[in-house]
Formats: sequence, C-alpha cells, structure tokens
Amino acid sequence: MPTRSESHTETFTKLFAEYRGALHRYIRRFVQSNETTKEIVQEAFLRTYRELDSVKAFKAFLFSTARNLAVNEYHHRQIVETDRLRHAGDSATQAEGQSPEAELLKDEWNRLIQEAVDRLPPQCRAALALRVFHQCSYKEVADRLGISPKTAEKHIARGLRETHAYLERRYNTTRQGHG
Amino acid sequence: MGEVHRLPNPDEVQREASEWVVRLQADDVTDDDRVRFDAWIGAHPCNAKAYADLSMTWDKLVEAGPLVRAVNFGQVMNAATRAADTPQVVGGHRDGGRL
Repeated sequence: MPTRSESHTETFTKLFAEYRGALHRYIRRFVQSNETTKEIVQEAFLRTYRELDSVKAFKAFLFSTARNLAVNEYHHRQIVETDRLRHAGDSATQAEGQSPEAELLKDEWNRLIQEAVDRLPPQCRAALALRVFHQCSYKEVADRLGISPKTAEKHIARGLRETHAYLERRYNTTRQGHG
Repeated sequence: MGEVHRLPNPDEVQREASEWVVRLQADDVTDDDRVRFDAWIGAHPCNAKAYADLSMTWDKLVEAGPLVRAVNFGQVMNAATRAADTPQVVGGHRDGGRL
C-alpha cells in the first residue's frame, strides 16, 4: 500500500500531467513571454500542491491561482511601464490596450472594481456611478441624489479614493499568494 | 542643507489627490484651481505619485464602466434612494456585503 504522502504525490503527478498543457495554453494567451508563462504555471502548481489537502476543486484552484499570478505579473509591469511613461512625459499610456494580457486584466479589474464599488456607502456609490458610468456632470449627480454639487464632488472623490485603496489592498493580498 | 522636511501624511495626500482628480474635471474648474493644483503637485514627489495613482484608477473605472454599469446600476440607485429616505444611520449602509 502506498503511504499517504506517496499517494499524495502520485495524485499530484497525475494531475500535473493532465493539466499542465491546458494551463500553459490558458496563461500563454495573456502573458507575452513563454518563460514567464512557464514560471507562472510552475508556481501555480507549487501553490496548489501545498494546498492539496484542503483543495476541493483542484482544477478551479489551479487555474485561478495561475490567473492571479498572471494578473499580478501584468499589473506589476503596468505600474513600471506607467511610471516610465509618466517620467518620459508621454501621455499616450493606452499602448497596452489591445493585447491579450489587457483582456485578462480587464476581466480582473472589472471584477475587482465591481467589488470595490459595491462596498462604498450608497450615496457615495451612486455619485461615483453616475459620474463615471453615466458621465453625469456634478450638477446632474447632485440633482439626481438631492444633494449639493459640492457634496456630490466630495462623494465622488471619496469613492475614487476608497476604490483605489481597495484595489491596492486586494493586489497586495493576492500578491502574497495563497500562503 | 540640514533642512527637515516633514513627510506628508499618506492618507492626507491620497485625499488631496482624489479631490484634485475630481476637481480638475469639474465643469466649473477655474484658473485659480489650476494654479493651486500646480503648486500642490510640485510641492512634494508624494503628491505627484498619489495623483498619478489615483488618475490611473480613475481611468480604470471609466474603462470598466459599461460592464459594471450593466450589472450594478439598478442596485446602486435603489440603495442610494433607500439611504436618502432613511434618517441618520450611523456608519452608513454597506449592503454590498463584506469580503
């Protein structure tokens, strides 16, 4: 009979063989470098292996771990790139807009932004939504919510600030990984 | 030369940066606002960094707009209307759930 750890390893090896190719192809769509893709895939397997005892949905855990790693990687490079562009005084910061990486990032951002916005107090959330998603002027926001334009402006600034802080926290958390 | 600069309070810097991002896109932004903004952003590298960060988040919000709007806007307005109708709930409604 195999010991528990032997069977553990065996299971993992089997799953590794089964999913490595698919995971590599999945991540490769979003990450330009093959090397980085390999690293992300390896790291995702490693983290999943460590958690194997508690992981119920192996594939989902593995893929979401890898996806988070890819997003973190992209986010990190985006920050570096944005800083570089800003320092160069170049306002054309939309260069990354069309890459497959950007698609992944967009999904992740949309999800996180949704979470962040959902957590705002109602008036703040409504003011931000009216301004950002409906392009309302501050006066229009104020009229819709029955508040002054100045208060609307304050709500929008607070909404932006709290959204930003939430996104920062989430990225720091996911960057530390699953343990 | 031995001059001690007080390090800006990060929360304060974030607050100011968020207010500038929002003020500069107001319909009633004035020349005076712009002059004060120039002074503020030049006053400390932390200000410039915070402004860049918050501008980036603003751009991301705008980019995410159509998707977030589609699923969320109804709830947003309902919640805001409820809040406006409900007198004085300390701490506000956080009906988006917590993580």
